[in-house]
Parts: sequence; C-alpha cells; structure tokens
Amino acid sequence: MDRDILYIEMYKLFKRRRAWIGPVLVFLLIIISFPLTLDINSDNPPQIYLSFIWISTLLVTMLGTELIFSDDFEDGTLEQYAVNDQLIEVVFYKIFVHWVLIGIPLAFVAFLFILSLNISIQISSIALLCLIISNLIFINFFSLGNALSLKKGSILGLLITIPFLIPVLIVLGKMTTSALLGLSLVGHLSLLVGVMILVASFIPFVISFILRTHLE
Amino acid sequence: MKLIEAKNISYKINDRNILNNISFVIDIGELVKISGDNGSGKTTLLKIIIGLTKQTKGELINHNEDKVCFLGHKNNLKNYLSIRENLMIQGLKLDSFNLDLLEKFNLRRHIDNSVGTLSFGQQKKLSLIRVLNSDENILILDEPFIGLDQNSKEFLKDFMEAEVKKNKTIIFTSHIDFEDDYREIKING
Repeated sequence: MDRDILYIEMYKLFKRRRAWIGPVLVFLLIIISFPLTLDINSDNPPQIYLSFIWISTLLVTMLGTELIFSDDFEDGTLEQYAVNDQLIEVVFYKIFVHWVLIGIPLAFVAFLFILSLNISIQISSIALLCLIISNLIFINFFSLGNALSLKKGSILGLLITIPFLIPVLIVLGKMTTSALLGLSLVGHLSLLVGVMILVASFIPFVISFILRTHLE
Repeated sequence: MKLIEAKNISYKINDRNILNNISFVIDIGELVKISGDNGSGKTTLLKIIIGLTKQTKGELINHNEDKVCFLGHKNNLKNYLSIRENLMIQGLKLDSFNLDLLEKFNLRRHIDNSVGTLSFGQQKKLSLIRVLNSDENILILDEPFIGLDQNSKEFLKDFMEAEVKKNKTIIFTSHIDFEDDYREIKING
C-alpha cells in the first residue's frame, strides 16, 4: 500500500472543507432541531432518540460520500490511478479518509447529543462504538452506490444500496433494545464487527472493478 | 526491440466500428504519432495500448511491464487547490527545475492561485509539468499540443525529441504536423 496516496487523499478531502464540514454541520442542525419538534421528557423512551440518530447518520453519510469519486473521475485522476494499477488502493484510502473526516466526527457529535439526553454514559458509549462501526459500513455501501451511478447522478446508485443497509439498521435497533434492558450485547456487537470487516474488505474490490468499467 | 505489437485490432461500441483491423509494431525508443480525423478512434487506441480498454477483436501484445506516464484529455488538476498544492499532490517538488518550468510557462506568479482561476492553456501547461518530470520510459500523450501557445509547443517538441534520444518511447496523438523525425500511424475509423 502506498502511503503517499493516503496522504494525498487526506489532503484533498481536508482542503475541500465543504465536503466534510458540511455533512457534520447538517447533522448538527438535524439533531438540534429534533428536540424542538418533540418534548424531551421521561415519557419518551430513549429508543426514539437512538433510532433517530441511526437514521440521521445514515442520511448524512449518504450526503458526505456524494462526491467521493466524481471529482477524480471528471479531472482524469482516476484514469491515472487505473493506468498504474492503483485503483484498489485509492478506493480503500478514499473510504478510510471519508470515515476519519466524516464518519468518526458524526459519531462523536451523536455521542454528545445522546449524553445531553440524560442517557447513561454506558449506553452512550455503546452507541458511540456502534456509530463508529456502522458509519464505516454506511460509507462503504454509499461509495458503492456512487461508483455504480458515476455517470448517471447519485440517486440511482443510492436507491440500489440503501436496501442493503436496512439489516444494519435492524441490528442497531435490536442492540438499542438489548442495551436498555441490560442484556448482553456481545452477539450483536460481534455481528456488527463481522459485517464491518466483510464489507470493508470486499466492497472496495467491487468498487474498483466498477470504476475500471466506467473508465473504459 | 519490440515494445507493443497490435494485430488486426478492432473496437466496436453499440454496433459502431471505432477501430477496424489496425496492425502496427512500436519499438523501444520510437517517437510515434497516431493521427486521424476527429472521432477516428485515436484516444480509444491509446486506451487500448495502456490497458484501460479492451479491443473487441484482434490481439495486442505489450512487452512493457513498467509504469507508463499517461496524459489524457483531462488534465488531472484539482481546481480547488493552488498550483503549488497541485504539484505537491502529484509528488513533484518545487525545486529549481520545476520553478524554471513555471517561469517558462508564465505560471510562477500564479503559484498560490487556485487552478480554477487559470485559463485552459495555463492548466494544460501545468498538467504538462508532470510529464516533463516523468521518470517512466514510456510516455503516452493524448493531444498534448492542444491549448498551448507556439513557444510552449516548440518547448514540448524539443522535450519529446530529447527524451527519445534517451531511448524513451513516446506515443502521442495530434492533429499538428511537424517536420521532425517521427513515425505516423494513421487510423480512419
């Protein structure tokens, strides 16, 4: 793996501030406006807030990955990487960089929001861990969607990939219930980590194949 | 010594023939121009040579296993970054060689301006700096002269001739005829 590519990808995304600060700000606005539409009191079970967090992060990571390949495709950078057989490395690094600059900050913003709702630190920490893991899964799938619809606008690819993420949302929902009931989370967490490893190691290969097809 | 052998290469897309039974051999250290009318398949042929596109018929034997320097129609530049940053992400240092190139191309005074503010010709010159720095033994350039002023064209021609003398192979497409010693592969879609 070429570390220069990692540095370049990190630098490029960092300099395109709107691409990574934008989604975090949108997420912040959503979670600020959510309590304004719902009375926060003891009658509202914490599941409502956590479900809202899962779905909001899903939508915001979708927004954050919208330009993951299009910019490099338009200016010929992907073509250059493909010529030198570096497409797979670039895809891995792009996903990693988006996770670091968008996925992880989103998880921490959500963590602070959950803490502010008087949900125990233990459950908040579990939620943080779940968000860090699930955001990597979301970013992988949305990157796949964007690669699929590179020349056709992002909606088509996203419509194809969102159904694949519904099982992840179901697992997150089950985890929330188990955590609130004080049940063991080892099974759910293992499943989530397993999916993350599978997705993060398999999807980049599929994406690089799709990108190469676009470049033909 | 043979570098690339093409035997009866054809390329067809949506029942439209782009390339039709093209055969040629390119040797190491040759300066080769691929010429043809607009839409005749020059870029497609270059993409087949570098392995981005697969021919629909025929055989292409590529004896090269090294990296190639490829400059396509697109300029590989980031509009939101400055000239300095674009050179940096291409792995180029701002040493005296590159500063001289920037001076020659009248880009030095724009070094901290974003590339999006440059004209097409200036962007083309900037994208050529990567080619002028290349260590690769094979350079594949798609319409490298487009957008360049006369001085820059002459500079690029001199560079290409000098590189070929170092036993590098250069394959390029162009509509421009120049008197120098190069081999031409004509294609007619």
